[in-house]
Amino acid sequence: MPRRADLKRVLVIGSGPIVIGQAAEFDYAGTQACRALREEGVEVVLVNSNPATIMTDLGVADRVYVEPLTVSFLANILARERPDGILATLGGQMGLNLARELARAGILSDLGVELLGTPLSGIERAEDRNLFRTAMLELHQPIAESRSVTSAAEALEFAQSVGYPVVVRPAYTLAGSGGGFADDAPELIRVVERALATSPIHQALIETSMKGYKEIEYEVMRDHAGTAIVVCNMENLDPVGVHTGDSIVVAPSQTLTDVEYHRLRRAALDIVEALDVQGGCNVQFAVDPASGEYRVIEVNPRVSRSSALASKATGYPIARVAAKIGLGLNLDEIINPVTGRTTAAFEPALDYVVVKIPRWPFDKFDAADRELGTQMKATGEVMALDRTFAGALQKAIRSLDIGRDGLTGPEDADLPDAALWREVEVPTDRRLFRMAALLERGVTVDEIHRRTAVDRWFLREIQTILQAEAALRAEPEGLGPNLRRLKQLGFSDRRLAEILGISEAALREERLRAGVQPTYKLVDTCAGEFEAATPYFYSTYETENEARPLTGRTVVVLGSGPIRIGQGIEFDCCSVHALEALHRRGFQAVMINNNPETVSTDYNASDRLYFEPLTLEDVLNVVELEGAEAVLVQFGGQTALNLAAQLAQAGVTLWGTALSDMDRAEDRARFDDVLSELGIKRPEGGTALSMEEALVIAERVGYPVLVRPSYVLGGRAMRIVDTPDELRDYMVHALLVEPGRPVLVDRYVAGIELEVDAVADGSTVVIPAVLEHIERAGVHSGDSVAVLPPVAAGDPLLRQVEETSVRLARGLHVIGHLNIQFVAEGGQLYVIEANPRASRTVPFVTKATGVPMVDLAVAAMVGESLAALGYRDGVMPAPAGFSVKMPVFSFAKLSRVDTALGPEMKSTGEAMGIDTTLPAALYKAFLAAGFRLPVRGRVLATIADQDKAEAVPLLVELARLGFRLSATTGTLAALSLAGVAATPVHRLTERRPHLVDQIREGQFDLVVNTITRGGHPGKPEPGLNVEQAQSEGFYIRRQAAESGVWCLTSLDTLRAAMAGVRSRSQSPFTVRSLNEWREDDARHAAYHR
Amino acid sequence: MKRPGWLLLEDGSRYGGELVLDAREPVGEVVFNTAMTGYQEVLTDPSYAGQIVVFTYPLIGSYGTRADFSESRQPSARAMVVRELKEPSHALSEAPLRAFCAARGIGILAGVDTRALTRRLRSDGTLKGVLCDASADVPAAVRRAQGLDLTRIVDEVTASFRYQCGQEKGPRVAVIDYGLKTGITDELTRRGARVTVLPAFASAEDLTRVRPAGVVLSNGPGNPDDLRGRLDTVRAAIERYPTLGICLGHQLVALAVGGRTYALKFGHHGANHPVLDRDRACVQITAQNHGYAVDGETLPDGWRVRFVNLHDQTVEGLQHATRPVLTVQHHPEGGPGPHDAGYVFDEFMAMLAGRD
Repeated sequence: MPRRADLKRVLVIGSGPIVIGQAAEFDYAGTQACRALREEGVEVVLVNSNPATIMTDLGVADRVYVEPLTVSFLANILARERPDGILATLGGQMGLNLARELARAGILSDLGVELLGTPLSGIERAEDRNLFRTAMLELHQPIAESRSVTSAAEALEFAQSVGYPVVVRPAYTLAGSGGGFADDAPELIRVVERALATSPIHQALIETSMKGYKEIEYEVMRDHAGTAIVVCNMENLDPVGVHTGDSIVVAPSQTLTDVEYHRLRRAALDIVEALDVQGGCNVQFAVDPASGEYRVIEVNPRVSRSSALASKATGYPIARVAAKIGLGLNLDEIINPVTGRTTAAFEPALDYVVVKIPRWPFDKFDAADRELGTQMKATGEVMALDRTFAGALQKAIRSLDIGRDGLTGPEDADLPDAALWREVEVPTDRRLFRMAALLERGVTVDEIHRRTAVDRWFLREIQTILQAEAALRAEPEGLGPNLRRLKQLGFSDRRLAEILGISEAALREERLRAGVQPTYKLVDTCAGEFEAATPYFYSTYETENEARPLTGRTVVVLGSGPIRIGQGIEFDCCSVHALEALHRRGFQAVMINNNPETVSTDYNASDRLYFEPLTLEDVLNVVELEGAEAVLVQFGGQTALNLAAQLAQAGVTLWGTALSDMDRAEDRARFDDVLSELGIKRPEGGTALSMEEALVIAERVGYPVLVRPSYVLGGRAMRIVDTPDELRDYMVHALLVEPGRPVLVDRYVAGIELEVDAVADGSTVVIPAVLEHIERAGVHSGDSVAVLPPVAAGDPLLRQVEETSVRLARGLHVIGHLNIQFVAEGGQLYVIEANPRASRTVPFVTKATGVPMVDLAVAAMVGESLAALGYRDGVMPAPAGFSVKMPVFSFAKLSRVDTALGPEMKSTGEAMGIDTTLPAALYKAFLAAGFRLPVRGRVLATIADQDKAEAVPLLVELARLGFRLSATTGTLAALSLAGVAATPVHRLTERRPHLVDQIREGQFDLVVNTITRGGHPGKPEPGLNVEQAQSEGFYIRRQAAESGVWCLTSLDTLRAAMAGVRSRSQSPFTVRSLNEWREDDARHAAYHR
Repeated sequence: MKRPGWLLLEDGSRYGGELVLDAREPVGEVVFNTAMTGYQEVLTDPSYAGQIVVFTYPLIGSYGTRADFSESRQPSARAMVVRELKEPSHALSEAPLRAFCAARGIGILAGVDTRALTRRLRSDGTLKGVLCDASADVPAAVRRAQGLDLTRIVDEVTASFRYQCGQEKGPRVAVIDYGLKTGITDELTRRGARVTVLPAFASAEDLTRVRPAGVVLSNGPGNPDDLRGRLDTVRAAIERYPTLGICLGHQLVALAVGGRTYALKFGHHGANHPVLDRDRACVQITAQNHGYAVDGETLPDGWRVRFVNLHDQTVEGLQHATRPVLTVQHHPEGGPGPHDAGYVFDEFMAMLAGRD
């Protein structure tokens, strides 16, 4: 069927802020979908609250709404835009849930808006547990069943209906302790009774046992005519039990026979047929390795993280095709853009192996529970392609950017066997490395297979790598004849050099002398059967190189690798903008990146994409092959910047701020010199290499002090310390983790934090806007609520900010981006730090002001004059309205992580609110971040002594606004002195139900829990010792996170939230497109005159 | 110790690798297959007789082999060329692929840049080649490759006598074996057919003697034009019985009614080819393995191109306007590959209804 002519305007729902489980893949999917729709002549309206996305660029959709993704705001937008259809299957679970709610509420039918793609009935049948079960039974598809039971009788009844063996898990116990397997009824009775006794709520979950089953996924596309194809199947290295988002995934499946492959394929196609899927769908299976029997685990009737992976793994643009199916096109009517002449109705054939490894945030959260299970914990992932599994695996490991360069390392070498086994049998993020360490110690493949059910196929591959390494260690002169094979197995130059005890440069030289160079192969969806038009390459060591150097002036942009806390999707946005800016200027823009979730690794984001690790070797190979004129390192976050020095040393030209000037910004001592030369103040402090030095500096500047390692990423390991003892404690750990790395010790200035993102060309310094943080200094800038334009900072201070920024950018000879963080106290402005690269806030500022910051930065780098483009020194006129950047956290998914905010960054994403008044913008931003306060809501307040004086007026105001307060004794007393009644709650140490119980039971809508700085309580409340006070706060915050209750730890945030709450009762919220906001900005015309 | 070897092509070009099994310098047409699973089914498919198969998927052998995965008993492909030969890891594996090939005399060259080779075949078309030891007499080996003659290849793979299989009762289906895959008789058996397999040289009388309710003209290797002498039997089938032609069988039907076939540049060999069924107005993903195709323009009246390959618009199957004759160029039996088009067998069985 040709595309439906009645669909003239379509609304696309984005997925909102980045959280664990819903990340950059939906920017990729949404962007591709918007473009695909416009290609068909459809007018596209996009809604997404996440400013750090390419899809919210004004060029991607016809109109962009940066508004909260809630039913009411969407209803408003739908009423205003009156689209013919709505496409909801590209915005993750967020988009799907919204569409269901809009349909159920009758809003879609009232407005005559059609849900495009998979019909609602199909979505319901996949998502609703009971409907799904019925659907699968009708299809005779076996499923994994489970039921909550409270008695042995119930358990027996269930087991009888699904068959043995079953697995029993007690509810609400840590790590499933007290559970077990049962092969028959007597055993089940024994296990269930124990489990029920262990469970605090006397409840257990009984499930069909799938222990040791392979986990296999199929990505399917289906159209209106019923044609369905499998884009890709994938096999998890980790057997069933680890969330697929936390599993190492391989594509295509490696250990399935043709019969098994097609049995599952048939099942997947039958399922999408029964659900009437029209678009993309993901089907997950568990396969018994002994018999090949399978069970359906789940079905996602939408574009997902797995489909992003499948798209990048095969080259097949799933989101694009799904969008076109939404318009009524069938698969055979959609051209496969990769070949340019075949259609989307085919199944990609791979002639390489793909390995995906998740990236976890545990490097940031020491205390987090690293165990992997059914709750996904990874923030991002990397992908690598090669013609061998070993090669892909080792490239993926390098891409993780976690300091590992191979399967083994000192991290595992000193651990006893038992410690290794623990993380192998009960998987953690380090399982792969622990398995390798065991194999290296002589444990057999069979033994590990027996205890983990990881397929021997994968274990043997790991062993092959280890054996090759061991052989080289034993016989270093064997390098020559084996060099090619070692490279085929994915060994990096650095790793080989380290084994041989020579420098990486020497090894590289030897390798090139031996003529061992990577060859690049094309990802073409068809295993070479047809000529392909897309420029998507990966490296391998074979005979034919398909990547002929591009003609013209070629410039390489380094991407930012996997999404992690502190280095998120913002940097991918910047990278994509940089590619576009280069392309616009007639350059051949080459991308190097390894993140399969992102827009930057889409086949049409660059003139050429190399899917490679971001290491010196891998980048140099590409630069040399392409004969690239320059490399841009300012857009890929710290990952790219950290390569700058090595690249320059290897003779690569870097455009933008000179390496020496970047170093002057990053090296603490040199930066101090710069500041004093320029007469700019910074909090007093110094660099310590030892405990003694740290103590001396702290004594000199006075406590509290802010301590952190130099070259930080997202404030990693940063802390505010109040006493010499705490400082000693910190230094012991810091020196242990990274010996020889300097630690910065600064006076802690508790004032207003301001932030500037400037662009300079060597003479003109353009400042699109100044950001002001709502939280006072001490909360990491990435976790702060930020406002644009500033409200608390007065004109004199802002003039200082402007003047200082210009001076600093000039002093550092910045060409391109400069991010500066300030703190102001008593009218005095201090510089905290300066980053000579695009920062996390660049996409937000770009969306808020409309100033194309990355384009200007690239202009500067290629030698254009900002003045000639109409820009002047200093802060640009403020845009219309207020924009608020709201951090978003994923605490519910990271058990044992303290949610209290501090100098360490913890947020995973951000949302944006725009409105004409600050309170309204704040409310929208809170709402967009998932925080909503019900009218007459219930608030629990536990306030540290130091904050009581400041907190009481706020709580009084809350009471006046109609909120009902509950409080612990001390806070209660303070409140009653102020004449406000509150309900007392029991402390953790008192009788039950105590305050944590009450949070769990859902008795509060908001928790306000302030802590003393750095997590160290000042004076504990009466009746509680220090540890108890500390741990009580921790439990309160954790329970709030797990129960989905909003918990504030900063009174500044509370104040902002209250301003938002007040504004909602004053006037109704309105929605407005970003396009309209920009049209308001007549200022540009005046500015550029 | 690893033994270096070559795949030599008829034009003298060579691809180096490790000669895992030499199989006495096998000579064959070099074709590539893009399926990611099903290496054993490919190697035992008689349509690959006289050919050297290049697997584009780089890791081959990972799940081992099983007797019941084989599509025929006789060796079919003469050799395979792979990037990497893997040891098996599968509970159901009976033997490693290497041992399987050794027992059947299939040569193996591993460690080859199979993508480079595939790209070569894509641009230059199917070439003749030979696997040999690195120390072999290269010009002599190339001459042997150039001298490859596959005009009588069907005789090497067809059954030498008539035999029965399938159900004890039910409609009798005569299958003419030009290089029959067991997957085809399995599909017929599953649908309740009594099967009589006849050799490729069976005459029209031989066919009539079986008194079939319907006839299946099987797949097979080589150029259909080489079988012009056997078209009488094909004509007898389509004139007298409901007939299903598969792959080579489809091409023979076209020739028998006066149509023409031609050689494709590098053929269709894989498990991912989209085929449009015009009658059902839907697209099936199909398994394919053929080097020749029917020229749809040369068909007489009454014959309609029902199936079309969406990649290159080539003819994928015919339907007669009035007579119960249906042909497909692809493999509805899968093995390896999808069974999406399995309904073709259902349609064939429906044609037989009431004729037994």
